[in-house]
Amino acid sequence: MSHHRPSGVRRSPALLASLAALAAVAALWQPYAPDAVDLTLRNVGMSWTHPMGTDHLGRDVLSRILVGFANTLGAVAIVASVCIGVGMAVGILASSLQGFARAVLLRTAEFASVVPNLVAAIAIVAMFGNGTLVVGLALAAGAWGPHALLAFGLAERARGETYVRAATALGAGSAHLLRRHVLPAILDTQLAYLGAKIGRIVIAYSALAFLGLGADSSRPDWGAMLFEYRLMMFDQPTLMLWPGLAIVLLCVALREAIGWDKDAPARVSSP
Amino acid sequence: MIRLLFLAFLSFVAAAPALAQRPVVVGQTFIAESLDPAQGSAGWALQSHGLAETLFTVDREGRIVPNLARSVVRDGEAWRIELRDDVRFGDGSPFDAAALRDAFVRSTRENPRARAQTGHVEIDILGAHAVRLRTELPLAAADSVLAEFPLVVYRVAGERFHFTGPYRAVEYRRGELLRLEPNPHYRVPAARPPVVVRRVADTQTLALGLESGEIDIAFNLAVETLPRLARRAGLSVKSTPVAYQYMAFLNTARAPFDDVRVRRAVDLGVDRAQLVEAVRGGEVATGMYPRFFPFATPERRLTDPVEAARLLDAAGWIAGANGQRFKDGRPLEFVLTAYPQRPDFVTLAPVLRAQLERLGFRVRLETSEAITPQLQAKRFEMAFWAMHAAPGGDGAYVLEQYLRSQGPTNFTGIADASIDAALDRLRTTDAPAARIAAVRATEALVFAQAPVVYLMTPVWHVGLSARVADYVPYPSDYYIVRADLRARD
Amino acid sequence: MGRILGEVGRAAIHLLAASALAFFIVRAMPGDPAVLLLLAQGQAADPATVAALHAQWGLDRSLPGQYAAWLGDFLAGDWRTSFRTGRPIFEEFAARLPVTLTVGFGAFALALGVAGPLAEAAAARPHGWQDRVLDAATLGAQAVPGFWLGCLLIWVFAVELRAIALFEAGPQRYVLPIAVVALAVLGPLAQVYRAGLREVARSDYVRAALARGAPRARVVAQQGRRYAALGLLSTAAAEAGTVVGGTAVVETVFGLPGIGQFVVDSIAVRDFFVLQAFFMVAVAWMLLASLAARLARRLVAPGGFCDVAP
Repeated sequence: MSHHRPSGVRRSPALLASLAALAAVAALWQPYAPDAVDLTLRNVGMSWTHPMGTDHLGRDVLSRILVGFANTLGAVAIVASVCIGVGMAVGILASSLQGFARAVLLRTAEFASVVPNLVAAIAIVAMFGNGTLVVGLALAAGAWGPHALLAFGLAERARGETYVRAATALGAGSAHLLRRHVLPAILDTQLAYLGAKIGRIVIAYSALAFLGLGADSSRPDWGAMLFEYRLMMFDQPTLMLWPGLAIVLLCVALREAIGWDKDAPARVSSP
Repeated sequence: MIRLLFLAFLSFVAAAPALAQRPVVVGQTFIAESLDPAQGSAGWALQSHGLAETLFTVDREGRIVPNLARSVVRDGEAWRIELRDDVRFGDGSPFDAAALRDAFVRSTRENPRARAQTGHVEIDILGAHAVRLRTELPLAAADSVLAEFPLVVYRVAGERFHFTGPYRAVEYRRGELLRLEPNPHYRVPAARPPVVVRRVADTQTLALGLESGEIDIAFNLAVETLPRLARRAGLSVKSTPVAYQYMAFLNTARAPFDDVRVRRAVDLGVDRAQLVEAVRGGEVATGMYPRFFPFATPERRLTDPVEAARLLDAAGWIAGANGQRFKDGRPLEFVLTAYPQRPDFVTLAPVLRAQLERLGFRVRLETSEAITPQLQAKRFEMAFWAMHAAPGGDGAYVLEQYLRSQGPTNFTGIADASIDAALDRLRTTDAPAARIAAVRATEALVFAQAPVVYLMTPVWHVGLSARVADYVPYPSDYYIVRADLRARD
Repeated sequence: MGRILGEVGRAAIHLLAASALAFFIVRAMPGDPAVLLLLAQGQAADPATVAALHAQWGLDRSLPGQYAAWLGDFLAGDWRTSFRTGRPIFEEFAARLPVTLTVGFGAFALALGVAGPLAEAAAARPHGWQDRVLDAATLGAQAVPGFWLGCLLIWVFAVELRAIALFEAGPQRYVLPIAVVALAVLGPLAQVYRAGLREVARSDYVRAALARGAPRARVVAQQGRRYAALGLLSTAAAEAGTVVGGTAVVETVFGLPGIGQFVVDSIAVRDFFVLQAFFMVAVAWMLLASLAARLARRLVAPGGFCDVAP
């Protein structure tokens, strides 16, 4: 399998920054208290006062969507950092080691790739509670595996690249090499791969919340909202529409912000 | 009832040629895990499927009445049981003292749950339909223990199990379906339709199945699906209160609920009518038991925010400018735990939280997928709970389990000498009227300590197709397929 | 021969690690299965009954001892019995796996059938409408919750049209669940197939063919298929997890007695041996899938990508 530098991947740091800023605002401010129950205002449709209407307990749906946004982005950020950080560290370390140590690292990464993710995540959440941090880490538990294997492959290739060999011959230290040549190339590819699968991370987080394992239920989560509103799907279809739409939009926005390599899936061979 | 009899009579007269009648399909979330009643709780499901019966049973009003037994009386250390003589098993063989002995000895030997209340049993045969029952553990109310599901009556023949109920099993696919036919040897003959009990795990699918005409009796529909079903012609929904009482446990070993005044304030601060409104159906709680039980406390629990505020002030929790209460700089806060297995609690949690925040509490909600271990480890502050309040038709059982010091499921950690003494008196009280009074007296002592906040009695919504529009649900899930089931075909 | 031994050794190491991880993760979950089971069935969880159940299940020994005993039994084919159903776990799995595999493989077959043509059309015209549709479809399909789609399909086909009986046994029961799962895996499969085709399209070989004046679409389709199939194999292996565990929600919605549903129920009551066995089966399945993919790669392209040349 040949690993090019991904060509033509566009990133938008500005979009990413504005998403983060929006999430910070959403976490701190909502038009209504997201848990304020008002049984006299059940299932009110869209209006100026409640742009997304209210739910079966009279809670403002927009406020709940906003809080869910902050939670989801927080968890996704955790998963992404672990994937890239741990993945690159393990991959590059394995490529610089030899023999048994290398084998152990690679086998571990492969193993992380084959463990059934959702079951492991459910078990981890059952053990350590269900804060956003824990759920993020639980999802990252297996997700870093492919990243490590990808980083390993890239590092191996980079060592064989002509310019690296030349630099070594000229007496450049390996730390310098790593920083100047190897790391940027690997990070680039890692981000492109992450961009291609970021949507699935969002979905996985929602799926956990849907199973009732998401973040603290006093803070509404999109997956939990879908679960809660599923019984009204035929009577109050918009209730499910909002969190569903929010999930789709966040997937698109994140993919565009991080940039994604359409061909990334083809580059990451399975263990 | 008259109408039912009349219908039964009609269907009897019009005994049409026995065409292969379309079965009545019952959709429900659970199905017996085995046809062997000595397996775990299979006896309970087998009863609800109309296969197995017990010596005594709980009637529609919550009273314990004789069923396969005529009577049970104390006989020194033992109990003397007289059996009916007109009962046959599904294979036609008669039910007698020897059959009873075989069933009870096998169940208590193989099922630790059957032993939980009786220990090992010895049965002396006194006549064809009379036995003496000796139990390892002392029994206070034998009739209620004999109404419990681990002691259903059955006969083992090789690999098969035969029962005395109105139906017998034709086909059984674990976790999926149970096909039943009327038991021709049942003691009350009638034209009963064949039945299929089908497990439908998802409540939305259950409603859809009723709408598509594939389910005739949808047991326990979610309230959110009712408006839609109401618009569909030919369907009806009957709602019945059930014996699963909703409550909230307070952890008496942890602040802020280690102070009885704070616990009583919570009890007074709950607006139960609003909870009922939030889940659109049910009755406000009067205590541990739904009101249709004869021993239930009749008076409703009070809601009195003024008195609640006074109690909190007295306990030193003083309201600040925004209404939030503090003591020595610490806020009055706790975590309220719900669990997703009871969707109603997910609905009720935010409502209850809003009510208590008005009193000056700060409440955080959590949903725990495994609530029981959390309660056992006392890792909770306030937690929802639902349970069958009188599984054997007697009130003492749950009080013993949940409120006696060191009781097996004493989650709240309450250890109160007066409650224990009242429970001791209950153990030796036999006369029904005296038992009712003793249960209510115990409840009053519990109210004073307020380790539990009783919330409401839920209703179950049973969806019916036009074929079974006359079906009347029982106030429990013990009896779903019953002898009086008829189909209008 | 050495290679085969190497593969077997690798798989054995993974399975051993999986068994340890499964055992200790499952045991670290809070909750006592005996108590959970008793309470789930409205029974008194008094210490004596709990202790009796523990002894019956062998949970009263030391953890390392339990692990060794369980692993030995497991390898010998005795997977123990389920706490919840009281039946041998091997039997339970044997009865349920076919249901889940039918849904999983059916969905894969359907997804591949749709993904192939879609990806080829998209790869032939980068940034054309097929390309955009594929991008949108990938994302949309992932983001549409399976239960929602499932309920909607039931409502349309079973309730309104009465075209499909929901609960009737037989092949027609699988139509809707397969459609729902297929939509979930369609995106990744189509994407990877397209990526493979594009990779080929950029290769020197295809450039040469184009220079000779061959029509682009045909060249890419002909030459690219074989290579792109390789990438597809890898992804199929990575997506194989869907087949053994990702179908729980769909099974619940459609009332199929599959393994996913069974495992979710088992988690709730901490059915230790069921969860351990499932973990092992899932890991073995993933290993098998990746081994099959690697073997297939060697068969399809023994020397790597250069073999695309006819």
